[in-house]
Amino acid sequence: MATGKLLAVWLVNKSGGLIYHRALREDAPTLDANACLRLASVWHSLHAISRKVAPVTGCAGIESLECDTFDLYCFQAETGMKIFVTMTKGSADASGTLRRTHRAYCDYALKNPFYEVEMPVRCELFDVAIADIARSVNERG
Amino acid sequence: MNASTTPKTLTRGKRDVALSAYALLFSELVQYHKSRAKDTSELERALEDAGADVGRRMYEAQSFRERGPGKRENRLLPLLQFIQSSFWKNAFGRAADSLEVYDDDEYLLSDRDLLVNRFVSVPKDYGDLNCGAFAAGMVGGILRSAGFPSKVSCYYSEQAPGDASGRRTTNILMKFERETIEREKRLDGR
Repeated sequence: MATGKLLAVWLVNKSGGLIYHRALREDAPTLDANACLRLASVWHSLHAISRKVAPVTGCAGIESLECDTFDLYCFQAETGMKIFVTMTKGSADASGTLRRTHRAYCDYALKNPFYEVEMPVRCELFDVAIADIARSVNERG
Repeated sequence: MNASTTPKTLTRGKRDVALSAYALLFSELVQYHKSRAKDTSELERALEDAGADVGRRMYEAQSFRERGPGKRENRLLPLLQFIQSSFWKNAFGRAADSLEVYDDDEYLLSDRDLLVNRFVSVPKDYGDLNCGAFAAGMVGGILRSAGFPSKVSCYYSEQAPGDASGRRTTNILMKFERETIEREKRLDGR
């Protein structure tokens, strides 16, 4: 089985607002800004519902969603911020990618004096870090 | 000076600080001054002033530790080399990449990956603000307290075409006052 390729990275703040979205491959669907906001907010709600309806206690919400055409992996930080990535079908270890993305956010957004928490991330160095992550994921195997 | 004069020795063990803690504290410092400054030049000046105090104190402690009491650098070039290597290592964990001289009275210290700028992306509407002003202030503070008054400023190098790393070299330009250069020349001739 081929390895999955990274299609897009999404960051959603703790109230469900999209703070970062970036398509990383040409075969990623093209979405306008409103569609991105809507989808991010839908995912935020689904994630919250999944925690409530889980039959076990201590459920942390959906971690992965496998569809016929793509896979989605999600990571929620302690602060309530969510990172999720969409990938093409294939074997993938998304936890490393999610962790690296979270780390890039902690470094280049949170340690940047010009970034305001919960607001959209517009930091040049963060963009560069995401491009690096995408390159290393999409160029392997 | 013997042990009884100071209650504590100034010897230094390894006292590294976590990079995250340092970066977050620096970020807070910039945000503090950002909320109080009218414009970017005022912000830059505030950072320089903050750096100058740090530089002056660090220089005093470090030269005391390394050379002993009452001894200090009194020539320009050795002092600048001390800043580039020893001081930079103490303050930022690595030596600055280069030290160049322009015209006689202008010296340029460059660092490809200045610690204070490692996580900082300056938005476009802040123009050519460089938070390395803090480091420039440190240099200025050292030079002033060592008796080499100068104007110190800080700017980014132009990004090389095709370089997508996002990292930009920070340059610290020191322009010395005429008296300093004349004094150096006099000492050279002696």
